[in-house]
Amino acid sequence: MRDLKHSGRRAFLRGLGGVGIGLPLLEYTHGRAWAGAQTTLRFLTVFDHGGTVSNQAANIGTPARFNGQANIYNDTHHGVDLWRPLALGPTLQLGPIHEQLEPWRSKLLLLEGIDNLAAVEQDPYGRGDHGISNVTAMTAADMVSETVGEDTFYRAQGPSIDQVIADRLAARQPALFDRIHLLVAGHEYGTPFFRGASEPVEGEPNPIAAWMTLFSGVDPNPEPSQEFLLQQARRGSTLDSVIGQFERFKGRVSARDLQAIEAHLDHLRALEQEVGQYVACTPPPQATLECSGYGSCYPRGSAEGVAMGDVVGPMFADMIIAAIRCGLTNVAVLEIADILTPWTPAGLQVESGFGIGHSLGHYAMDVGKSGVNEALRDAWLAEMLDNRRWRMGLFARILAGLDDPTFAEGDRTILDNSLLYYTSEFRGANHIASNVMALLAGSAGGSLETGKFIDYNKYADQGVATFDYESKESIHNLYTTFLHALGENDAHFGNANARHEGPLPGLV
Amino acid sequence: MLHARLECPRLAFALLATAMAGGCYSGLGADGDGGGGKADDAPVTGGGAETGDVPVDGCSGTPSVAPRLLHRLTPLQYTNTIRTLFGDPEFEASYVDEQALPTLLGVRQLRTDAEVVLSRQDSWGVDIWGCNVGGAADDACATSFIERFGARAFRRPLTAEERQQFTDLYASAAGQFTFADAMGVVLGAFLNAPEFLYLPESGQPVEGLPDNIRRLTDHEIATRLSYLFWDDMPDEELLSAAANGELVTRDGLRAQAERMIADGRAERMIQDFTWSWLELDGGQLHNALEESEKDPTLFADYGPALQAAMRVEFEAFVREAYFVDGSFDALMTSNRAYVNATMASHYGVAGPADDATWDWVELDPDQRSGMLTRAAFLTVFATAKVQAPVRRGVMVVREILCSPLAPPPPDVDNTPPEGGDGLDQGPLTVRQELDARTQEPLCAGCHRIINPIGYAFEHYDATGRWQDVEVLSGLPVDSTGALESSDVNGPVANALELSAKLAGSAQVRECFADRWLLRATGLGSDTVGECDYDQAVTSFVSTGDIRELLVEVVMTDAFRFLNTADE
Repeated sequence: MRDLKHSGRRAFLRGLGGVGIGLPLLEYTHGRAWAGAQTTLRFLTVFDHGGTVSNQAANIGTPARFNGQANIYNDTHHGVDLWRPLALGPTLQLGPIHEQLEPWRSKLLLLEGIDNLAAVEQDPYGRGDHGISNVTAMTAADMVSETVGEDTFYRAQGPSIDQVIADRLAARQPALFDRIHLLVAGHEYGTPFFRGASEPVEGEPNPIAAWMTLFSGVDPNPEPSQEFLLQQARRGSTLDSVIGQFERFKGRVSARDLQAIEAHLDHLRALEQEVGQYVACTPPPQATLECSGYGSCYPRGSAEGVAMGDVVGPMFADMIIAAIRCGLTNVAVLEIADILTPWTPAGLQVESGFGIGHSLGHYAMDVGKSGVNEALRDAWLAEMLDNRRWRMGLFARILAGLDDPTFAEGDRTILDNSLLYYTSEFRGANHIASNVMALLAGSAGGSLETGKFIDYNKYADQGVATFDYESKESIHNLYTTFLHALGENDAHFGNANARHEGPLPGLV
Repeated sequence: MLHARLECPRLAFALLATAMAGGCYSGLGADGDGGGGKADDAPVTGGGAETGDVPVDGCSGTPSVAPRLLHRLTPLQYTNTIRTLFGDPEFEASYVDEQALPTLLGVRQLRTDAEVVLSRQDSWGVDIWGCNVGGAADDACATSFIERFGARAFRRPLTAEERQQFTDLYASAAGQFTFADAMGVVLGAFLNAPEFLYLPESGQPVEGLPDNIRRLTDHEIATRLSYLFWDDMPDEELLSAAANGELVTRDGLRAQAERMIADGRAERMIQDFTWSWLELDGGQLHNALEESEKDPTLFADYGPALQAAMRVEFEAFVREAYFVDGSFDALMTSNRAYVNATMASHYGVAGPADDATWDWVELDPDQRSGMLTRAAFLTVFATAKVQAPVRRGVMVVREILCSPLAPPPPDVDNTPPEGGDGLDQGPLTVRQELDARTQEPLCAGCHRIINPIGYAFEHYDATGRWQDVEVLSGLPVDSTGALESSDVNGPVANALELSAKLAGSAQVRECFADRWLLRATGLGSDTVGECDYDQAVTSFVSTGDIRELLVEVVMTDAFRFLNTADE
């Protein structure tokens, strides 16, 4: 577990000694001051809950792990894959969901044929449901389960890849925030992100709070205001006392409570690191919304709370762009719950059974030619495509923001110096954690060759329409690749469920 | 978020055995312990209970108490506590962290909330400072503030060491900031303190007991009571009872428990318990009542007004069951309802002339009986168009009968059957379509238990209105069902008979008591000692007295004692 030094706060306070309320000589630092001569690398994840419009993993006929079972879905499924590229070949030809990424096609890397074997192998059904897939999708870790009432919850027993990368990058290229994590709230099956064993990490759902966290110390003025300095000084004094209390408290709790108190202390120390840090940079505009702690937002003055994913999503994308541009962080997560698209006129909310995004996805099993709702096939496809394109639009927004030449770093854009990862807990509505979504962007400072489509499916040469599927690659290997691309040399990431150790072949 | 619950293996053997045979075993353990009978009229062990030297009356020996995790205030408890501490009922916390391990997000929210509290001094109804902090520095005021506020925030008098630490903090801050800011720094340090955010318990040794089994101190019992019944900090009377040593006596504890249950704040907790238990505030597969969408072409009257009325009606029903009747029978079978014009019309009974007027009425006894036949429950467990027998059945099996069910296969088509005339087979009822879709052995193992319970509710449509004919299929409903594997097995004609059977079931009462035991002690009926089990569960099975159950759960060893063993 990370154990940041406590001395920074005390050193900071020394600068205040005897100064009184005028605080003329308060120390502060500029965010950009951390940037060294080396290329600054970034890692961003867009996690899109609920899979995509795909039949690709529906065929479970071939892999031995499914015991030679025939494709049980065949005719009940819609038979369409809107995620895949249009064709094989050396040049990436974007599929329907990815159309709007065309301006950055040469900077994308679309990978197919990667399984989440941590989910598949640990699911008693050998497939991976929402919960199991969620907690393994970013961690590739062992997991434990707990049943509470009607629901079963899972906990990964290891950190997610973004957390590991955040820790590594923080050591090499320190920034104000090791990692930021924003959540477009709605229906989902729990966070896929973990700081460590049984230690889930939640995203900030509230755009008001997110802005305050990220940008309250960010201003275009070269020097901070006295008001800011005074507030930081008070914050520092309070935190110093609280950390001291927790250190004493830790000595009084039982061994079983130690992990919680140490986590609390770690978080307090992370807050302490932020104290006094001033960044001269332009923040994005603040939200003109009212939001509850749970991220239910509504227009200011409106009487009712509604989840405004269409408003909050772009705001979060812009905050991530600004945070990266201002050097506030090098690791960011945008998590998008499995939300419906209520702003679409042809919305299928009523037809989606219980009115939650997950149920809409399940309709994939009803709209095939022998499905019980075959008549809804076209409407379902249109709605799902619209919904997934909206989600992909947030990714496009981030790509555009990071690829802006105004903020170029030498002959590369920030995007070039980044590795972006767009994924979900599984592929399609069949809830199988095989052939998971893996769209990459940016070359991690030139480590990855982009503009390509690589399919690790053994039967890839049968064309993009094939349902035959078998692969020996897993997210374990993908995440090892990430580490290598970002300059680390780990032999393996995740648990022992992968077919082989090491990175994916032929990428770095 | 749901409160923590465990399965209740003591009580579900018959069902479990049948379920296993049918391929519907969830993999949760059953230890085969049958519970045992209550020790009849066993004598109170001397006067020891009054002096706190002996665990519990009716029992002897070492209290059986499992170690518990340190409790951190829930977001609700945090909000209530801040509101009470400062007399600021409008305060809204940003803090939403309910993870077992605190998250950076949560710790940041707590820091922010403490700053927000300080910025709301104009809204405070309690003078926490005791002097004008806008004026010159007043060290005596600061000292007094630390003593008084500290005792309230930490729910016990400060230790000498704590007093010194906060005094030192004030002195340090006063050297750098204005008096107001220095006091603000101290306040912030209290509101982010471990002793405020967590409920640490160290207990005190009891002669004759092992070192690791300790009795909670008076203030620790007060804190447990307060956060159980009110989700809030102890009030003055409770702290006074603690200071006077009344809470380690059985009479004193009972008196305070009864007082607190009768207080309006207990209702908030009981409503929260009930809505969480029945998942009326949402679950993994369904939305909360207020977010339950319905097809406007089928339910033109459905909307926020009706949802709000359903909530008022259900809350009033729960209130009456707990505070007027006080009986489990009322909860399961009463047909009284608190309605306005909208709700009366919804239930098809005569009632108030407008929506601003509410009154108690008797619902048609041939249509309604108890909480499971109320609109709020039936609306949540339904699709946008039709009733959802699987969801209703699963809820009864798991939460009313406390029986484990295996989760469905991950890739199962869980799109709810809605019946209707658009199907290849011609018009089908929901029931007919569901029967067809759950025939195969993989499904049938569980669904032959779930479906016949869910079918008993077929007379209630997607908004809980009575229906003889389904809205989509136009076909007559069939509400005949069965309880196949419980202690009250047999056919039922409808939800009225089902509710009557459940109300009289020992298994159901044990299940209900188990949920409360877990809420109060953090330990389920399978982990508490035999003595506690008899006291809280067995007696409730025979009496069905809900209020007495609420008292008995705090009289248990599991509530009053502490196990400090590391494992």
